[in-house]
Amino acid sequence: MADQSETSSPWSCKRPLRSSMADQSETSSPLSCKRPRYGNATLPDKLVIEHILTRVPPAAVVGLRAVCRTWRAALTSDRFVRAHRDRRRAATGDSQTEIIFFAPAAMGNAAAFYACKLAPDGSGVARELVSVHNLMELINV
Amino acid sequence: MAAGKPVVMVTLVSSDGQSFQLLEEAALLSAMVRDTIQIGQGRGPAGIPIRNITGQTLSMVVVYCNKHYTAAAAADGDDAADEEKKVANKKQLREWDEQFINLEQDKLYDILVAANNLGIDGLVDLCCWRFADMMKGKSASEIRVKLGIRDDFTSEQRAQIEKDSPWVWSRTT
Repeated sequence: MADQSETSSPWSCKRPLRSSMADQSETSSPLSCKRPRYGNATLPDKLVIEHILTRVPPAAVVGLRAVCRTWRAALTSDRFVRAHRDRRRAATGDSQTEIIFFAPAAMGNAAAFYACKLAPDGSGVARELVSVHNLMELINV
Repeated sequence: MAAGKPVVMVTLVSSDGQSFQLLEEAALLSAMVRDTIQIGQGRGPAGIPIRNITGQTLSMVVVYCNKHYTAAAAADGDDAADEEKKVANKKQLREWDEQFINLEQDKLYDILVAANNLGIDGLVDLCCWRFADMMKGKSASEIRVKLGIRDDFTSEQRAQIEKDSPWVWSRTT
């Protein structure tokens, strides 16, 4: 399937999901939050962060930083950013760097997210992802 | 499947005692089955016991293995340089995958855990993409409710988040 780079060797049945990132305690205690529950059971944080959250589109990941301490620590780490980028590249076969930025819009207090793909020569066109008013409706905390 | 090859079946037995017979080659998609057969077990009539996976979930996993084995065997069969057909078959399999994994959260969870325990990389990957898809477009608070995560930020941390990214918490009114 999509990312052979990470899942090429078989997972042993006796071990939990292999970690693509180094096994550091940064994302576990003391920052562990109550584990996510899916139905009647729980998925390990590691599986959720390294295998599920690395598959969430970049613009959505930004908002997920406000979920809990464990997620915030993990999603803002360099390791996660690298793993996420590699995963998206493997999945889309797209090696162009995409940057996301936040800038004031033309009017009043409004602001917007933009995504911009950088070509090897450094040029790129930004497209608007979401304006702040939409974002407020989405996040609604 | 190439002609003349002996047909070897293998039996998987779920935790609640249901038996599933499938081609050994299809079952070999699972690293766990591969390991078991490699050490010379599992070919007997008793089959391979699959602990912690119920018949309901295992039946789905078996469907996945059969489909992917058949697709791979078909792809091997027509090794002619018919690129168009290959692409079409790949697309078809991807569509089948999407339909297959379009499940409720609880079922998806069961299959992810089963695929992980059985070491079926393709299925783990598929489940994770589906989970990621379910998180897309949801706010932090929606995710918390859906996954039962407690908001454990201290007031200082919340203040810091507000300072770093005010759009997460505050509103422009």
